[in-house]
Order: sequence, then structure tokens, then C-alpha cells
Amino acid sequence: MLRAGQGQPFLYLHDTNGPEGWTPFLEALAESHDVWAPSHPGYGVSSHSSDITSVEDLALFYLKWLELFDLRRVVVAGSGLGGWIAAEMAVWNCSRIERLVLMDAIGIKVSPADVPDIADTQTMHWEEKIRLEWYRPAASHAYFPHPSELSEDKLAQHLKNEESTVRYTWKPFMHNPKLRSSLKLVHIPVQVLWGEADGVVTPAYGQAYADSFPQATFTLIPQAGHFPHLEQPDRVIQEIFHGSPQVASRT
Amino acid sequence: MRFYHFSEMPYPMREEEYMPISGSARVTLPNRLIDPVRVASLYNDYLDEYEYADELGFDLILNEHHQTITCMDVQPSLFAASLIRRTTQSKILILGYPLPHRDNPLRVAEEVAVLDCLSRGRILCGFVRGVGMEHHPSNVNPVENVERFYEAHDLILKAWTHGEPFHWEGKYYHYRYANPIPRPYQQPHPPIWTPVSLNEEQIRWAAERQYVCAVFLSGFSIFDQVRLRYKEISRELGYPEPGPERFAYMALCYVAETDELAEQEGKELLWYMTTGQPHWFTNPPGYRDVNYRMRIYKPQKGGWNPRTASWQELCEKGLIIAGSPDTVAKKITQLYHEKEIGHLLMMNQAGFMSKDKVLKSIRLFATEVKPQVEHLGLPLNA
Repeated sequence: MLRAGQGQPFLYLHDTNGPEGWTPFLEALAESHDVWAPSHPGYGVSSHSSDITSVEDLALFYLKWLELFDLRRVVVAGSGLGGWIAAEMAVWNCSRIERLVLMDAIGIKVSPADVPDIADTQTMHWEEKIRLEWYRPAASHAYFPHPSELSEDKLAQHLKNEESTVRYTWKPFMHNPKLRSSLKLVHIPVQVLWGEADGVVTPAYGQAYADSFPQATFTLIPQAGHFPHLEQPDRVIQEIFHGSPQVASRT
Repeated sequence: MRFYHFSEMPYPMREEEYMPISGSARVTLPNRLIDPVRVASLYNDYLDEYEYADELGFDLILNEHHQTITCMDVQPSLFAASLIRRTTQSKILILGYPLPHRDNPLRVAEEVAVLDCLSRGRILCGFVRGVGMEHHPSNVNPVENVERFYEAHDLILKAWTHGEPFHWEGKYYHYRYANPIPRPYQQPHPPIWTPVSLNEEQIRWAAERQYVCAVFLSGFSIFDQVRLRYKEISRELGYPEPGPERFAYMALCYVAETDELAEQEGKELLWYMTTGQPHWFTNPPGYRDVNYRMRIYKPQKGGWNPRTASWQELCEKGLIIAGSPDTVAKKITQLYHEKEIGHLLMMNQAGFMSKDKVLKSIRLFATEVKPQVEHLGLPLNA
């Protein structure tokens, strides 16, 4: 678990690739917030727990965690899978959550049964996956090198991350069929930020996600793919703190 | 010794025909490329081969796979039912039902009981975990594979033996009244077989229950290690010393008039070793542990590649048992004495191997090899 900074608590939840380390994005956030960046159970060096087998379990895990550390007025931000976890947390209990920031989140179903909403990056070549995920594929290397380039320890972690992703998201694939209709219960402000070039989940999907909340804004981040906080951190920080009128009035 | 005829019932295609389209022989090879008219001929030819093998005194083995040109037997119970009525003496080994991929294991209990009654006790029942490639067709989560296997197995055994309805609220399977009709003909149930690889947990599970353990296309070295470990564990647990009746070995097999002809004609069987698919199908995360999956990115040093090995190497390592009748008889005798193989599972058909050659090989085996080797280890309880 990485933690730094002071001020309002900011919980960042990572995507299926695993924890990203202390990124420029988190560094900038820590200038004005108490940033918590955990590795989900089963990812990175976090051990897997046999009680935790679904995204719902992960959401409850983090809600218990907010209680354990008595965190209040938390900004919960999530990328991809992390966004899905954040949305589930808010459906269950937003009493300790001030607002959500969902970045290229997965977790809902928008299209008919035989139309995929989410690219199946588990069953494609690495190069194709990177092309879908990144506006500038060359930029991926700093965060997620090709598995064959990893040290044995890091490769073992990468393979464990893949196993955890499969554990939590195999079926229904990358979503909870009940989540979309439950989002109308989330009465806190929500910002949905989306990389314009995201090939894993499209901006149209993101717009539908935003439309499912009672009060959400939807903002496209240009020159970014599935990880706008990695490709355009300054722009994303700007949106998080000054983007939404409701949000701006609180900071 | 007992000898089992086997075909996976492939739809043979050359790599050039499908790799550019799907990059895979399994899962994603589009089913529009599979001609049902050709399929009809193939199924009927394969069953002709099985029925002929029965006439000549072989036992029979069937398996199950999905969404693959390597095997069109999607449900061995179907073919077992046909064979039971059209054959007379053979044991019919189903090796095996991939239990994790069943949402309703009681159906397996029912099917096996039906087949066992219909055949008056000729069924040998195999339970398998299923290969990695089965997870996308069934969409069962790979991380659940082993637990589902154990729970389904325990449920099926209780369903066969309990004698009255019972309640089952397990982790994966739930029944308020489990009471399948009929019960198996063989009591308490048909002999159970299970495939085993170099995996301590698998070997131990099989040895604890004294199930027949089968090693598939892995070569003599792995077979030896499995067999010796199975015997060690059996001793530890206080069982009588397991003998050849507990050990089954599968190889690609071909008998021809001479060794040279056997190599020339038998090479068609190697098609089975050449079909490939991407690692995310063969080895999905959660199916095997992280250490095993490291090999996707860090190739093993000093390993040999069955896909590119020569005929001689494949014969030496035991993936192929082939040659003239005398060569094959000598080999089998050696296998029995050195390796205690009681059951030889003979993949007599694979790939483009034509029906007439399969029938010839079976006939030569039955008339010229079997008389030399069938006395080995008799009587052998299957």
C-alpha cells in the first residue's frame, strides 16, 4: 500500500494490470491530499484471500477499510476495474465517500447480449492489447513492460495479477448485470473521465455509464487511451479539482 | 494387459487452412469451416473403427473436448450408447468426463448409471479436470477448476451409493433432493480412472482412492515418476502394493508390416502433436499455478519439444509405439516388465490417418501382436 500527502483523503483504486507504483499522477495529488493507493487483494504484493472472490467482495473490503481507518469525506477514484469497485462501494454505502472519479471504468452492461462492451484483452497478443489501451503505445513500457522483459519476481507478480483478474471478472465478463440500474442510488457527485482513444471501453460506453448516475459529468481527455491518468496526468488532475462546478466549490 | 482402441475423432485440417484465419486449432477456429457432410462421414468411419476393434478383442476408450478440430467427441455418453448396442465384449472406458465443466454433476451420475445398466457392467468411468482449452467453451472460471472437480466427484459418488434422496448445499453445486435413477449396474459403482500428470496433489488424490491412474502422451519418464510416487503414497496409506492394474499409459500407436512402413504410414498420427493454439487458451490464468505459467515467458532449459522431435525420438521417449508386429510386441513386453503398464491406451487414429490404415493396424495388432502379449499380467482387473 502506498500512502503520502496530507489533507482530504483520496483513495485511488488501480485497474486489472495491477498497481502502477507511485506515478506522477499520485505525486501531484499528494501535494494537496492524503493519498491512499492500495494494491487490491491478490495484486502486486497483496496476498489473496479466499473470502474475496468478486468485485462486490472487493467493494465491501474497501468499505470496511474506510471504517477501520475512520476515513471520512473521501474522494474515491478508480481506473478501469478500480472504477467498477468505486461504483459498487458507492451503491452499498456512500456515507464516508464525498465523491467519485471514474476513469475508463468497467462494470456495467450497455449493449445487447451478443455485442461486447469491453474488449477481451485477456485473449489477445500483448501488442494488440497495448494498442487498444494506449494513445501512445510506446508510453506503456514505463508502466507495463512486456512480460518476457520482467525479472522472475515481477513476472510472478504479473501472472498472479492475471489470476486475480480472472478470479474477479471472468463471468459475467468484466461487469455486474445489476450494477447499472443500482447506480441511481448514488447521490454523491460523480465525475466520469474518459480517454478519447480508449479501445478497451469506448467513450460511448463511458457516456452511458455517466448517464446512469443521478448527478455525473462526463469529460473526454484528448490524446489519452484507457489510462488518461498515466498519459495526461496534468489534464486529469485539472479536471478532478476544477472540472465540475459542484467540485470546484468544495476545494 | 488390456488394450484399448482410441480415436479423438478429429476433423483433420492442415495448418495452412486454419492458422491464417484463427491462429488456433481450438476455440476460435470458425465453425463455418467445418463441413457437416464431411463430419457425418468421419463420425461413421470412426465408429466403424471402434466396432471393428471390439470384434478383434480390443477394449474401447472415448474422451471429450469442445470447439476443436482435434476432437469432435463432445459427449462420450452419446458414442458409448451407440457402441454398447453394436458391440459385444469390450469394456468401454470414458476418460473422461470433465467434471468442472458440468453445471449439473448429477447428470453425469445419471448418464454413467444408464450406460452401465444398458451394457450390463461394461463401463469404466473416468473423471478429468479438463485441459486449459476447455474453459472458454464452457466459460467455467479456471480458478474454480480444481474445487469444482473435487466437489462434483464427491457429489457423484454419494449420488451413486447413498440409496435415497439427500441434500447438498456445496460451494458450487446445490440440490434439495439428489436421488438419481437408475443406480449403476456395477456395485458400488464402475471402476474409476483419472488422468494424472507430475502433480503431487493429483497423484495423492488418485492414490488415496486407489483409482486407476492414466498418463497421456507424456512419455515414459513422466509415467515412471507418476507410477513410483503413486506406489509410495499407496504404501504410506497402508494399501496393498498397486500393480499393473492401476497403471494406464497412452501413446500414439501404429502397426505395419515392417518398421519402415510403420514410420512412413504412421507419421500421419503426428498431426496431433502439431496443432496449436495461443497460450491464453492452453494455459488460462488460474488453471495452473503461477510457477507453471512462468514457462509461457521463460522457456524451460533442456526441455525437448514434442512438436519438432523426430520419429525416432518420439519412439524412444514413448509418445509413439510403432513398428512391425514383432517390434511392437517386444516394446510392449518391455513396457509391462519395466514399467508395470497394465492398460495400454492406443491412439490408433489421429489426423489424416485414413480408415483403411487404422483398420490394418488394428488387425495386425490383434492377429500378430496381441497373442504375444495378452498373457502379460492376466488376470487383470480393469
